[in-house]
Amino acid sequence: MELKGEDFIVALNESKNAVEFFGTIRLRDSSDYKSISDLLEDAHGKAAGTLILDFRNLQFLNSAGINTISKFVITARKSEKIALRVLGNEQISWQQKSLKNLQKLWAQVQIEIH
Amino acid sequence: MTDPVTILGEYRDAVEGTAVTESTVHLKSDDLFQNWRRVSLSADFIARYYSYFFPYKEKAQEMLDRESAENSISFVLNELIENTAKYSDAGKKEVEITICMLGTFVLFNISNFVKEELAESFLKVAHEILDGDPEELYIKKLEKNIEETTGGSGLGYLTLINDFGVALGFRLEKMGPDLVKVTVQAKMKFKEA
Repeated sequence: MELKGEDFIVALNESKNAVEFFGTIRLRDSSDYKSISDLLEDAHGKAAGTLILDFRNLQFLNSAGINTISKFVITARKSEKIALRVLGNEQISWQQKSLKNLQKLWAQVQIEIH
Repeated sequence: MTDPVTILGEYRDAVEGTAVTESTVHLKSDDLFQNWRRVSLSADFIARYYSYFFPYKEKAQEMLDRESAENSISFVLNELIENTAKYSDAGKKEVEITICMLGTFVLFNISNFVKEELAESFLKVAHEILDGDPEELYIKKLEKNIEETTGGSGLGYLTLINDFGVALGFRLEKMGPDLVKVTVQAKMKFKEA
């Protein structure tokens, strides 16, 4: 399953148990983010063990997008069905600054920024 | 609003002749709203333009390097411009972006025009952000808004404060009956003083 916007792609890679983000995602508000949160929910439903959120190729995500991801992390924490692993790129400064916050929402989230 | 001018947070008035460089961009909020990608494009353009004032990573000592500066400036400006695109409901829908580079920090002044009612609710959000612990407030708001799908919660401002170390100031000026000019000032440090 794949979502394509004008500047981004969000893909559910079932063989890797991963949701992969590419490009720049700066949608207007949470209603515009619904398709992405639906894809995350879908991935959560299908995943077993650990689900990977791979941001390494995402140049930008605005705060509305960060909220969408944060809310997903809270939902995953509450259901305790799977573990979460977050991959980031240290060359991209917003990732360095903001991704670590996901651990404040759920201490068990594994965050790897390389 | 009862006073002609209300200032909250850390807000500096322009100091003549002290800037390394300065530029101003004028846009229309309706244009930004109608094609949302214009917001991102504007932020990216200014960020790239200003990134050339920063050295490459190899030469950046105790100072932000070019790539990080571009990414951070774009992130910060995008959030501030998004707000003007969403929340301009009065006057000629003008948006003014001023970027002023000083010795150790950049000041971004983003202004737009709103009606009194919107100005009042904006003041409330500004007070809430400035009065509390921003990290605590961020988590609290997220946990609380989990079921909500509406914006305007101030989470964008909190992200700038918490993650980008930005200091925010707000200036609201009555310009006429039911017309308020809102200026948000973001101070981003790029070098240790």
